[in-house]
Amino acid sequence: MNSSAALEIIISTLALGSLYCLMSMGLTLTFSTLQLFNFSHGALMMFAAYLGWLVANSLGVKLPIALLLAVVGSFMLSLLIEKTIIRGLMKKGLIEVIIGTLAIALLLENIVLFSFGGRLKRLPVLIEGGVRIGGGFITYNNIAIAVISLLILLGMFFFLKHSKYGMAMRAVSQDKEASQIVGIGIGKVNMFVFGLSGTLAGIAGVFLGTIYMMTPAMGTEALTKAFIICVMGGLGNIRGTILASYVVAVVELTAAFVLGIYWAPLVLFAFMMIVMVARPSGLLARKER
Amino acid sequence: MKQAKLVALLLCGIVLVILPLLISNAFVLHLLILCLVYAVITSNWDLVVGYSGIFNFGHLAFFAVGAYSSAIVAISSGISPWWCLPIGGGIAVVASLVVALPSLRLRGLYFSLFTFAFQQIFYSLILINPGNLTGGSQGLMFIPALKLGSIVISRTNKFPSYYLALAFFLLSSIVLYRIVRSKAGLAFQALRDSEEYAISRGINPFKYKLGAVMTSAFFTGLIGAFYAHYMRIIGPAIIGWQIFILALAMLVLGGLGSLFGPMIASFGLLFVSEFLTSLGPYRFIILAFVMLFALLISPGDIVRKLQLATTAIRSKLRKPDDARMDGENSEATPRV
Repeated sequence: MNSSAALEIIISTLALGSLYCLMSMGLTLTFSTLQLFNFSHGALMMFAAYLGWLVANSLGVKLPIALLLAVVGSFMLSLLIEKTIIRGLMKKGLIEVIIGTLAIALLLENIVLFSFGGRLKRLPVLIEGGVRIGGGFITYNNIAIAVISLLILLGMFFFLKHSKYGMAMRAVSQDKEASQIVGIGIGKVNMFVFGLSGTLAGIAGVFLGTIYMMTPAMGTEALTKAFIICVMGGLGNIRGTILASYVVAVVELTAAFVLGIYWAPLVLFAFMMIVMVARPSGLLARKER
Repeated sequence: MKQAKLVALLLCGIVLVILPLLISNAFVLHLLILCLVYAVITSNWDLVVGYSGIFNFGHLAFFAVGAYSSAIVAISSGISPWWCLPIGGGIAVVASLVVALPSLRLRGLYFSLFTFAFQQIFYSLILINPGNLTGGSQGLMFIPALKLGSIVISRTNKFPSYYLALAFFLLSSIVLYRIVRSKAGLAFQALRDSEEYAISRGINPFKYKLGAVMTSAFFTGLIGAFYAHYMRIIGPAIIGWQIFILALAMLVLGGLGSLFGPMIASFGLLFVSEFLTSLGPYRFIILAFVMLFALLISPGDIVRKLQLATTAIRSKLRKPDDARMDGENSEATPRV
């Protein structure tokens, strides 16, 4: 591997890693407070991307506004899902929740397939053009997405740290019963977390739509990536998720570069399994209290 | 009462044996064969998830390992496909060792995610097509059919295929039933209900859990091999997203820890799903709604509820001693 290729991988890693971070943060948040692994997260991303495409093409509004509307739509949808389905399933047990969220993913995927068809679609890019670095070519779109993702994540941390709802969320993720005793409404917090996770999924989804081709099945691949990242970082561990996003990005790009693009998912899964066996609680294991 | 159960089981068996004599429609027969295949998959899955409390989410991978390894061996070596069936089962057991040995010590959800990752690795291995063995996304074609004398047992000849599938189904069911009623079965359930207590009573958790996973992998791989030689064409879709959800739905809606529940659900859900095919693109939308509805309305385990109800009625009719024993035995579903 020569130095220009290395430079290209480093810059692509930073851009891709930031997007991955956005994709997986919603999953980590839902796991840390609700203790559920949401298998419909990828389908939500896909749904938001298609929603953005629909709004941009039918209402004739500017692209940023269309994407914003799509994110709002994804927020509303996830609130609806929480209220009608997740809340009921949470009382039943782990496997019911897993299969329920899988069924939601199946539902969303087929609704989109039915109403939009299976043909590839693409959202217009945020900023045209690109820049040549080393041997590779980085689009301004990717750079813009990386920067916006980082800004959104920073905003989210600020929110988690200082706002009333953020503190309530952290309290619930630490100790459910104790936070109930001090008067935090668990139901409200759960709904809020799910909505926030849906919003993050929506943002990630429209970004994915501007980078890759959109298909109704794109959610599966996105979910797979987010899944690997969350497990590697340790379920519900926010800092671990950030680290794992970049680790996954660098492993994926290197594997694609060295072995070929088809080997990347296999290498990632193998890497994840090794991490799980060596460090069962993720890369940044929390200290036992 | 035990006799009543035996009679009911015998009746079910007789119905399954004479069913193809009554049905002349080849497509319905094909569906029945698929039902038997799914029943084997889900009842073995139930041994691991329902009885042993090991949330293995990579179970379908064993099916695919059995199918692909048997097909590859049959195509490349040219030995009789009959030998390939146990080879498929054996390689599935090896695969189960590969996945279970490093992961069985992981906690609850982590184990599920680990096994799920294993299934995804296998899926991408099929797609990568190393050494041109798996046929990539196009799948493997022209898999040799099983032959008994001059009778070809494959898709084109449903009648004998049904009986072979039934034979495998009965073999698997009888073995599973014996295991569940044996000392090992009790050990599985003890580990599921309270691992600490089971360990303190001298049950080696690692050994028994490994045993459960290996047993389930063998029969699942075997039926996978049968499936490959029956269909004579297999593709990566056999461990695709939608099959995974369908099989999981059979397992959960049938009721964990009941063996017969998943079998009945296999027959029911497969026919419902095929019936919905005529509705075209609405099929999976309706299927998803049915699954969500069923999950929300009932907690699934219909069979278990029936068992509890019959136990309650029986315990009133019987001596208190027996009733207590019976109540203990029907203590079932794990909750996480």
